[in-house]
Amino acid sequence: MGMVLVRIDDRLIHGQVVENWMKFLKINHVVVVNDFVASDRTQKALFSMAVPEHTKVSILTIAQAKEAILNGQFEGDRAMLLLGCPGDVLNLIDGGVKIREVNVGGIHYSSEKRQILKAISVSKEDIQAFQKLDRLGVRLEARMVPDDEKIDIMEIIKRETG
Amino acid sequence: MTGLIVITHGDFGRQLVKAAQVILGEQRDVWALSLHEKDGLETLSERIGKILKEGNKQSEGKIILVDMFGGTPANASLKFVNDQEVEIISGVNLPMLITALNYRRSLPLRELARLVREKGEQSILDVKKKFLDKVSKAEK
Repeated sequence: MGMVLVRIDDRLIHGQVVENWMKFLKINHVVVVNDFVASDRTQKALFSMAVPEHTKVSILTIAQAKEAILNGQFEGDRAMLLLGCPGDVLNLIDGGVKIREVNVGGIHYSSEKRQILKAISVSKEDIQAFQKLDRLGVRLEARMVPDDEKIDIMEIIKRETG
Repeated sequence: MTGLIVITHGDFGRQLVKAAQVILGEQRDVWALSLHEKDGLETLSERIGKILKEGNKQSEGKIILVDMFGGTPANASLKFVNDQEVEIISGVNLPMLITALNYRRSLPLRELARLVREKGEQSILDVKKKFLDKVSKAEK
């Protein structure tokens, strides 16, 4: 099965992910791909506690994730990849990982960002990364929870950036 | 699908349903009843009765989730204690409501009620202790 869902969500593991996406897609392995979290013991413990019992959880740096995926380590699982920003997805793809479709769940607002959807705010770097992903043919759908309507995030970005 | 009625003092239940919908998306066959200062036991019972009657068209049984055993929402629900199609659980919290919403299509009424109660009991944790145990285990 391998990677069932690749999701950009800077809250990483949280309620929507655990109670909704994981059940909806029958995920048995949650893979957090984030350089900061993977190199911080406290953050790692926090996120590994946040998944239901009997669910595998891996917390990897981008480099580690690249290697794990290319070595086929998630092949036997129904894995869900969680990343904090589109730039991290781009890094994985640049490293040779094949990703066709990305779900964008949430990127929180801060003063240097621009809110384009209820749960999605993007920085200049985020927009550039999304545009690159788009050029690479990656489908980018904004959707917080499975029942929500899929929104083409590139259309929103095009409109917002005119 | 089992219908859910959340009954609480003030608007706690209404907001709890909203909170669950942030996580699960919009839901149908969920009712929230608020008990305000002007409301009495009888009027609350009547409102519950009305939902039980009207909602029964689509729902297969209902779980009433109340905030506190001994409070008016729980006492008003007791009127329906002999109804085979109704379960009543107290101490409602977000994990309980989410569990009820997630499993109400797949479990029969009695089993769903049991799962919801168990989930509620398991959901109260000393977070600090749990976290520190986890970190110290990871260090060993």
